[in-house]
Amino acid sequence: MIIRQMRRWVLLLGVLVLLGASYEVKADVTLRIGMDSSDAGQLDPHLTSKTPDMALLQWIFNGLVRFKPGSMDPATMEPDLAEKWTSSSDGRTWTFTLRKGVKFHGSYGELTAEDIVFSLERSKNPKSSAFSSDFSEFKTIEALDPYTVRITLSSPVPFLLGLVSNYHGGMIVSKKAVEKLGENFKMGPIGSGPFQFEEYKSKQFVSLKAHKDYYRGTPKIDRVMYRYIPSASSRELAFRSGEIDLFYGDREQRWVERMRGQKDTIVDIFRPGEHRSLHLNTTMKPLDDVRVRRAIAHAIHRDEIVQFLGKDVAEAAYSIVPNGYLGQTTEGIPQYEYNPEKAKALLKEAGFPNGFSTKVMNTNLDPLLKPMQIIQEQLRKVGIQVELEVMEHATWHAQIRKNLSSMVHYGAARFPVADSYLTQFYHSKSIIGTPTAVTNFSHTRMADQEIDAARSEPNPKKQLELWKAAQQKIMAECTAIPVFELKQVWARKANLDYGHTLTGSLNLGPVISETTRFK
Amino acid sequence: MIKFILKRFLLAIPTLLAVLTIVFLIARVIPGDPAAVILGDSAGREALDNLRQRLGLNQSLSRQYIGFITDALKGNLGKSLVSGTSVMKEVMNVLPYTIDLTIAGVIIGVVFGVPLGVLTAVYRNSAIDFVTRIASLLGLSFPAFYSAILLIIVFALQLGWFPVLSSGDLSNPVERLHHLILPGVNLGLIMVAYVTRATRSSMLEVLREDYIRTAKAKGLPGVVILFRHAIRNALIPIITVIGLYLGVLVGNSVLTEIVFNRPGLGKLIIGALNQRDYSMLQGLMVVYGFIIVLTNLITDLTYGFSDPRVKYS
Repeated sequence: MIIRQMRRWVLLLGVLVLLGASYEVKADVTLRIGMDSSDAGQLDPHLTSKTPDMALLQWIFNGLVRFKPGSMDPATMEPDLAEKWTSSSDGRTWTFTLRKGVKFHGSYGELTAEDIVFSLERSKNPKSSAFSSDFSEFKTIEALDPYTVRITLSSPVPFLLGLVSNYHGGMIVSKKAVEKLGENFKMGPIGSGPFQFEEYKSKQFVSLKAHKDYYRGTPKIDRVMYRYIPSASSRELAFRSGEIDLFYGDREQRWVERMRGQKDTIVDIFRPGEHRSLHLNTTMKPLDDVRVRRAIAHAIHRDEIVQFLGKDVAEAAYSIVPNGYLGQTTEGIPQYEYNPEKAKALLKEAGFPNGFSTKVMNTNLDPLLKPMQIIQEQLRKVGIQVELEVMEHATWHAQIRKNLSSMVHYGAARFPVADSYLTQFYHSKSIIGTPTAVTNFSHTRMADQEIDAARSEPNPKKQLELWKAAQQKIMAECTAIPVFELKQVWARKANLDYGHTLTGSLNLGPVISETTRFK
Repeated sequence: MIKFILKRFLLAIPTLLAVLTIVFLIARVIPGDPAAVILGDSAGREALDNLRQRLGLNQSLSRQYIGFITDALKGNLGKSLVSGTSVMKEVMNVLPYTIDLTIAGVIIGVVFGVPLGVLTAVYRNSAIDFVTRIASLLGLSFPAFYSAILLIIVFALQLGWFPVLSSGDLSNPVERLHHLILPGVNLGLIMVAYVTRATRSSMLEVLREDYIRTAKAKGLPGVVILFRHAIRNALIPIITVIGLYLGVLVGNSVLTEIVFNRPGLGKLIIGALNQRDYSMLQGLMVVYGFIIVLTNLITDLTYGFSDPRVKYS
């Protein structure tokens, strides 16, 4: 009797469970990502230039124009918030016509010209932006009507569309949101992109949810869980146990091959490469002698370094401007092939028949230390003893800016136009220790004229020639030796489809868009 | 007793002040500029100067110091230079995770370590003694990140019992416990090793005492001698070791936190160090100092419970 009663209850319960299940809405599609960082930095596109923030913010914000998803080629940029644009023949006046009906996240309403003006002014202001110097030629930014914006420049800039693209200062923020949230904007950034900020949990994650009113269509993924996982092995283990679907990988051949051997795993290798050069401090003896600098260049064996790092993730660099940047060239540029005998001869000529020894500071981070150790070995073969002083990363950054290291092995990726690299690394105003210092560690100053002229040259052909001339001069003086480029490496589950082919991403992470989905 | 506790806390104030001063100075002596770390390497000088001003880093050292100490005395640890949130709030966010982990480590350490220690002392030089001693030596010298990965591979990947990323939601007690087990065991392994060794040596000493011999001579059964006479007298050094390592444990948990991706004080301090977040570092040192003072106090008070001869004055 009792058993029969129990059976009835169990049956009823079963029916209820089934009913409940059928009433339950379709489960959220969540994309879980593992990022190499212990925490978020600044969740404000105008303040951060850190990979973990940039990779995330690109899904929240739009620019007037954008790089094609999965590409970082400036030549194929396409309309985004702006439908179309015109520029005056002298390149000083640009007029953008905005797309109508673009909605900001939450209740912040439609995006209008006022937001564009506010946002670009904010990027121009050093109090609210880390990229203010990019906008120094912006004279006025005006809203002619709610859907038209006019930018007037004091002098032409090398590549204006780049400054109003979905990168750094070009990201458009909501005026209302910034004014309302003030300092708290970075705790809840508001943009118009496919995903909107949902929650930030300190040291743990940022979650985003689909922006239902996204003007290109509602995203197929409902939620993005962006977790901060600083340990490389934890990211990999979490991926293998199925707790994350996409993660920041190791830029090493062995790792890439190991991950490719796992089932249902795709490894994405894409640009921009982190361009590595060895900057030679021309104010320090004996590097003030061009023969010594050339000797160092002839002693470096790029193929060996690339072989060590791996053919898929690294690529030899022969130009001081990274591959694929507008204006980059190796044609007619002096080159220093690997030739240890020549290096020794040059050293002898310079008065160092037995070589010399020099102190070089280096960070303790593996990706920057290992290649430098190979270079150290290669230089030893021609008699140059490099004493490596290895130190903690932030300490190293501070020390090399105090003119304390004879060589600086440095990596960077910038906006893919020759000007950004030439100005920051090889223009005299960027020399370390000066009030306008950026990252000119070598004290290069011989190409200022060409770099400046190219900046304001409206004729693209002439501009390319000027950039070439600058590269010729710098390479002839050999103040820096381009060594290699190290590409971005991520891994994902095979069923995750970005919705585009990923070959490049200037924001240093895959583009997750409205078309990204799980197959 | 209350007077004793109050006195201990008052005595802790100068210690904490000294710690704060040292931390304040060390943080500023290490090269590295918080503004540069926050804004990245392509930021212009103007933007950097602006940020420094906003963060108050362009004030003179003495002014920064006075401001910091007066705020600290008022119980205000300031705001993180990087995120702008209050240091106290950040600490409170992660403190439960650290406390969970530490308590788990201590419980595992005591539950396994004390019996093992007693056993090895009683059966000195037997097979069980040798095996345990070698195992505890292994436990002490085994790097925590390595044991963590082994635990993950076996129990998370192969068996699938636990998650790799063990940062369970605090408001969900089942998940909280589930996510605590692997990291807790990992931290507990070290503690078991410490406690076993401390218990063994303390027990060996007590077992040599005259009153044990007397008890044996009286013809008391072995179990009674062990529990009533030996263990109770051996407890104080064991408690001291546990108390001492409790502080160490809070610090040691950093590797466990990183591999299991758990939030916690250890991870907070590493992040603050990398980002040159001065105010966060200073705040964390206050918290650490406070934890050490508190654990020492708790240890001292436990003596009284385990040994009625101990008096507080």
